[in-house]
Amino acid sequence: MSSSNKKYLILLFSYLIFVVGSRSLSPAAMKSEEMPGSVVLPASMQTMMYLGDRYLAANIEATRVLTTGGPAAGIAQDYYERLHLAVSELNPCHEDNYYVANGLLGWGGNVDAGLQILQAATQCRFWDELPPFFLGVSLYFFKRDHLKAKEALFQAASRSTDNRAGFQRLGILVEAETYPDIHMAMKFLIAEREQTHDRKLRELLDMRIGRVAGLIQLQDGKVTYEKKFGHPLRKPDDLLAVGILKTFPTDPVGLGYVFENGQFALREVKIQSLEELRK
Amino acid sequence: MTFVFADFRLALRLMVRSRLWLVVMILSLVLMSVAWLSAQFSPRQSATVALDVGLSFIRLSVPLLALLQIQDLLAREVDRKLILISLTYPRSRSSFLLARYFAVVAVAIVTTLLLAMVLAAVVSFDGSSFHQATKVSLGLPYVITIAYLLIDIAVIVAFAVALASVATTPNLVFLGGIGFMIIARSAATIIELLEREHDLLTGAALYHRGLQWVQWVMPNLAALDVRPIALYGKMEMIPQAPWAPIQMAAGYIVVLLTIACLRFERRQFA
Repeated sequence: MSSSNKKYLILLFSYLIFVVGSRSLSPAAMKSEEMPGSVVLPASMQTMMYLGDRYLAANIEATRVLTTGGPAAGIAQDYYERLHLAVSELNPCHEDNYYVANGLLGWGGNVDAGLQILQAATQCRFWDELPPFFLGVSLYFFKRDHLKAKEALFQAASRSTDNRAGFQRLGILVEAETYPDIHMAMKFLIAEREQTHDRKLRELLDMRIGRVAGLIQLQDGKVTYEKKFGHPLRKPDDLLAVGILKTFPTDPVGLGYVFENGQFALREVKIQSLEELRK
Repeated sequence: MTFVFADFRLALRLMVRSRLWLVVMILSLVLMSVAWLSAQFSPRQSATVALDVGLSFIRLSVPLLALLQIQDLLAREVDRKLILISLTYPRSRSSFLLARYFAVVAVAIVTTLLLAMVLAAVVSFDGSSFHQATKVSLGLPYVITIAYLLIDIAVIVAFAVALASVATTPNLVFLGGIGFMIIARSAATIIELLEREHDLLTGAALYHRGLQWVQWVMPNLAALDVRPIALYGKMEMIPQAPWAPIQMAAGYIVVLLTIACLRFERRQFA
């Protein structure tokens, strides 16, 4: 056997050893976690990791939100919150970030984090009417802060060319503390979904529409009840008792609704902040 | 003066001979795919993300290429003793050093402009298919962004020249240059972000204080990154004193090149 043949034999043999070894790697080492518990580094560390490029870091982290998705509620909320806040610090102007955060955090029940990101986006994107509009709607729907909601909606109106009158009207209604037309919010959500091509974002918006639809059903039931009996609704169960509703609507986000101070509202989730965890 | 120009031309010829054009072609292809692919991940602002990631790519790849050129044209020349012949001509060592600096910067400028045009083409192609609410601006704001980026690159190359004037191993120029680039670009951003992360990091104040002194020895290259004006098409987002970063960079370049010349004039080539 010539020496070059021997070398080919060694080549073949060592390649076989490599293949057998790599094929028999235990599968556990390759399996990735389905979802959270995923690490999100602080924004300052990310700047270093992406070689001093905060915009690149923001883009990559914003992509992570859309690619590592899962259910919008539950433990995923904590992961989403950290991810969105990091992007918001790296580049508060990031359009995808505030838009998706409004859907995932604000409408997913984690209202405070959603508001924080919308506020940063409102400030950074000084020309954009959508962040103050979302901010106003969230402040009104979730926080019932009529005054701040009106201010945000008027700010949106001042930035807008097409929706100026609509935003202003909504702002005035909100300040007058009349219960606003939820059907209007519904129309807006449906219009928003029609503009979206991204599959994941569409699913998200679908869940939001389902959530508001449930609220509308409860609200309409309450109005019918009060017209029929002439006194305000005291317990939600009364709606079932008199047969206005057959069952309570289910919330596709999985959070449900609350009945407070005689009004139906969307339930919030509370996530322990880091300060609370340290105590 | 004629010698400076001859040195400059020679350095250009050396770079062309090392198949630079092939590298630039590959870089443009990678840039096209990176920008296009990243745009696919953005539901609302695909053109902005394409431009953003593309600029990040240019901002990273061109300095690395320039650092390799400095390593080749200065450090390796010393290493292989070619410098002994280069220095026999009747002109000062400083003019040799400066000619090589300007040649590398000139090549970096041409490379950047080429890549910037490729990126503009990809972004405008992407923008034609989806109309996003806030449009990118590929006009004057884009030109300004690229101009600031070129100044950023000139600082990094000047640092590499200063390093090459004292380095005894060629790899130090490349690695040291990368280290300088990362620190100079991220220090100011990290300081700014740490101010807001007091609750997130234990000892954020300590890091913060430790990083303050960096501003006295390092230029803040993050200030030369003005891409929001092009990303969102809003000239209002330019820094309030647009000349300050340019002044800072120009001053720092002169400091670095002076140090390099001083060291290089007295260096012993055994």
